[in-house]
Amino acid sequence: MFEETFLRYLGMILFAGVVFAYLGRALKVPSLVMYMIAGILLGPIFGLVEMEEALELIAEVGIILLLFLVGLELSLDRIRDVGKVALFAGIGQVLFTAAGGLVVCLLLGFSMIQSVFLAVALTFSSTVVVVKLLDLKGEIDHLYGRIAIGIFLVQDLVVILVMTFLAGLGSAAGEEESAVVEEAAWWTTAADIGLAFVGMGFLLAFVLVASKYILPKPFSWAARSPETVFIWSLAWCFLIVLLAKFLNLSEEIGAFLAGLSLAQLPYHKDLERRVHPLMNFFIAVFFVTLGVQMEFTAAFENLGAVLILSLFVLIGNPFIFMLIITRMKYKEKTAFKTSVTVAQISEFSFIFAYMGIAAGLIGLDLMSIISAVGLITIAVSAYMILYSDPLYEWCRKLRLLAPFKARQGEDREEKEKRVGHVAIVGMNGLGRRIAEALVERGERVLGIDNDPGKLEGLGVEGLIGNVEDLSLREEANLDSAKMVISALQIEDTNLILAWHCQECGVPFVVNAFDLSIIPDLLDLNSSYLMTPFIDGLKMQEEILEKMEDLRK
Amino acid sequence: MIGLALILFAAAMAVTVSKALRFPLIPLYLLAGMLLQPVVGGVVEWLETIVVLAGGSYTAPGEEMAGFDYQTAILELGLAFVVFAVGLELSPRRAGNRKKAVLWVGLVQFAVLAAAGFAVGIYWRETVPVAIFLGLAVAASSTLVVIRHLKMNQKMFTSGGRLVTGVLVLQDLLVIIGLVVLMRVESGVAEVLAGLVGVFAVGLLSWFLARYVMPIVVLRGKLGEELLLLTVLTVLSVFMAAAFWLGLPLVVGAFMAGLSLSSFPVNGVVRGLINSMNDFFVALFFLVLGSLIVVPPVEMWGGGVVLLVLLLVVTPPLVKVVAELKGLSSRASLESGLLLAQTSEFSLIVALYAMLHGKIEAELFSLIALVTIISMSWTPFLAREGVVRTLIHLSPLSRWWARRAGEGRLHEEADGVVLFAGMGEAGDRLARTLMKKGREVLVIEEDGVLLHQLKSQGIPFLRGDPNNSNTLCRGGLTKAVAVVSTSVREEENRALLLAMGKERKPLLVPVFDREAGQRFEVYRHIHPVVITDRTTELFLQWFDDVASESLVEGK
Repeated sequence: MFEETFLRYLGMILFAGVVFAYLGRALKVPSLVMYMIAGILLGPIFGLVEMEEALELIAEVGIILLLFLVGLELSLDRIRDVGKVALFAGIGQVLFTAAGGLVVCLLLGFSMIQSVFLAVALTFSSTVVVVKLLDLKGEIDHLYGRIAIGIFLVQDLVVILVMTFLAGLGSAAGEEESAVVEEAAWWTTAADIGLAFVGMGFLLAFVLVASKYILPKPFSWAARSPETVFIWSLAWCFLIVLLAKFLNLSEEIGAFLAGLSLAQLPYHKDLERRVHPLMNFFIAVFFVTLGVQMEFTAAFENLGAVLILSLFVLIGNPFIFMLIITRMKYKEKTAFKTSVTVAQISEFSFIFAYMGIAAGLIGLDLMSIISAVGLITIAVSAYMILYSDPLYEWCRKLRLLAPFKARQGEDREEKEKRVGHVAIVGMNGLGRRIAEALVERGERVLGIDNDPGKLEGLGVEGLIGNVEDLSLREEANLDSAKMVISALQIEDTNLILAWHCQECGVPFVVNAFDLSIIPDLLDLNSSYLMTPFIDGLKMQEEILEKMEDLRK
Repeated sequence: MIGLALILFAAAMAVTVSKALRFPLIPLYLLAGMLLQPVVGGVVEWLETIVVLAGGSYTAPGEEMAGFDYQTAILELGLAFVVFAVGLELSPRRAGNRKKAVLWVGLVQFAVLAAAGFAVGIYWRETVPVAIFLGLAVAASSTLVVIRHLKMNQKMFTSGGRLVTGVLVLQDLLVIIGLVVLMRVESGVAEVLAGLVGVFAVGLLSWFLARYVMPIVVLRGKLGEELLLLTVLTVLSVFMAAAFWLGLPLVVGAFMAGLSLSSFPVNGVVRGLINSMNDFFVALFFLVLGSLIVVPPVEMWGGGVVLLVLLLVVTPPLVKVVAELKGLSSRASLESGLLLAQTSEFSLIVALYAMLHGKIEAELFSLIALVTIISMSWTPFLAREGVVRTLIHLSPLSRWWARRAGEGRLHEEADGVVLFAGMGEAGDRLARTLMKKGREVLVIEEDGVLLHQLKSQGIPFLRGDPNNSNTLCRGGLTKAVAVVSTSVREEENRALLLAMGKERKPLLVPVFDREAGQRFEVYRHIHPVVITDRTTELFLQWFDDVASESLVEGK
């Protein structure tokens, strides 16, 4: 059992992924591109790894967790204000790109059915790629990020419709082509499409009701135990994903809505931080396996077509978006940064092509063309997204954006980093007392604890989570704090905090609750040790002496 | 997907029950897994049918769940993670200043229980290798359950807590080495030696990485969360590959991988990264493991009871004796013994390995698993205050220690004595200081070992329960200057106040958490209580005097 292929494959995937990610770091290539290249080496080139179900499950879980995280990061209010632009731009782009793609493909000499397939495959952009990159840039909740995610969700719905439609087409093609069967198939397809809409409405309603009336109470009961909240939310996520599947919707939509429904909870940030590493692991495997599944044999013969189609996606898609978004009164920079996010095709395109092959509608040659276009567009657009700011400046200098006649400037992003604050970790009796005293002294205090209850009623800014997480320490911006104080009675955490503060040169005050840990804390250059134990003893001694003196 | 969703759902149930009843989590996961087992096949099929009936049109390739053995994948990944996380925490630092006691208690408990398990196996007429497996399976105690209990009750850094933590780490290491020996024992001594050399080689590599490589990679590499996580996971993969290549159990690789990242502060950084992954995989692993348990035939039940009795009757007294000999108080020793009286998650891993390699039957695996579930479940109940108190009074050894120390002396006639209610963690220190200044002190203590220590330090003591009014009177409460409490526990201080009755002597209570302190303030109306806590004051003084000045200068 333990010597089976799964762990070996997974090991090789991780190993190759990491080696290439290091290489990518040196060459400034985005990690997800390097993961795909690692996958291509492991799969199509050397044949070391084959896809198997366990790996597929991991990849699938990766996508679910990624979208769950996106949902967590965007609350309903933040997604509502981009609803209109997402809907118009999403649908507009699908129509324009599909039509334009069809014309280009026909001009390139593909048959009608091939052109339809290629055009549809070119239409969808990759939610996973873009969200991963936005996450890397830390800009998911920026205005352009939110618009892009809105657009992707609209596209996702369209994907479902197309898939539903295609499945109907496939089953019709597979059966005897009598008029009666064909008509029946059309009816089922129409009914399925209708059901998808009804399902979407139902799921949305269910999630909204749950987030408002069902979830808050039990979750606030569980809040004191981060592990419980974590396992609960994962179970909730997968429950909604199952429900989505049951309603004939995609897992992505289910996961996103599950995240959205938990985004209203006060500790959604802590949840995010907990899901994040898990997602990173699963999604890396996803990208490598994406490479493993690619197929290039026929791509070289059609190199011209591959390049033209790639250019169409890389330039045509952003162009159409600029056109639509600038018409909707967004400023030029926001429109530009949103537009470059759609310049790639999606992993759906591959699945879509597989379905075409399975239905006997297209051949393997088209699959390899789609793979090649996928690799090129994902790689190039990754750069475009990561470097969208300099790219924007460059396009502006060359006056490439002038024809869109957009409003100049930038839409405002509200985000402020903490500086000069006193961070107090552990809101136990000691922590709370110090917090109150420092607030009286006019200090800006940030309280950190993984129990939301302990942060209540103190009148200080609070952050929920475990300071052992690097991402929490970053969010608390400990590096720019005036001082970090730990009232915790947890040796490991205190030591890691002491180390962190030593590294970034911030004064660190720590609860040295036990004599045995004092040497370690001094080694780490802690600025002040609070020693309740020794203080108590000394105080007792002094009081007793006074009493004796009084007696005399 | 449906299978995974069900597993997570069961895990959610388990954590809920665990939180509501303050019950250990691992046995609940295993139980949930057992319950899941008959349900899961049926439910997955049923749900699949519904999904297909409802739509069936959106089915990505490779989506067919039927027949896919997701359990194996979860078991493999989960096992690697659980063992990796244990390796990560392995550090001599855990034992604090109790290293000798840890070594003694850990080794003696391991050896005696392994021998007892082996004897039971032989008595059952199992073959020698099976009996050895049984011995190894019952020899260690559960790191996951005990550490969680210590953390929940804030006892990690008491002397007993330190001892227990160190013992657990040591035993995990012993099980890993034992497993290697066992897997090869049938192939002869040469193979066993080769295996041990392999373990040593991987261990050496891990030590080298921990010392020279990982601090540079993890701390200086500026890798960012994603790359750091993948690097850590790759280290895990590479070590497992090395173990595979050397013909060692994969858990050895996972354990050594953890070890290679266990130096400070690398381990802290890594722990922060994998905390949630660990929660996730621990849940998955134990649930799937639970689903492998079958109900053993009735004739084996007696055997299970024997093993449970063995754990209960042998471990606590054994640990108590050894720990007392190494200088821990009777109370801390007994608490440690009670806390260690269960089988470990490593027992399950050993049993799983043995079963998968055909060394033991599924029934015996299940028996060991059930013993583990039951013995893990009783841990929080055994470690209760009432149980500890009762057992200390019953323990002949505690009484022997106490008798050996003697009654102590009565202080009814002495004037102006400072009474100590118990020796506590540092009562002896304060008492000595006061004595040096010519003050009269008397420590009232009932723990035999501590009495013995007081006696050897020449500190006057009185044997008895400090929270009992008779004892206090015998100690000369009426003429005492003050009473010093050495316990931070609120309930003990309250009992002490009650015992003092109307005798309004000042009571000095050491710092405890503020909420409890506030509740305690009420007693000030009826009694002169001084809560000795000025840590905050001292800190604020420092903050005002030094820190703010230098910070201003710095700016």
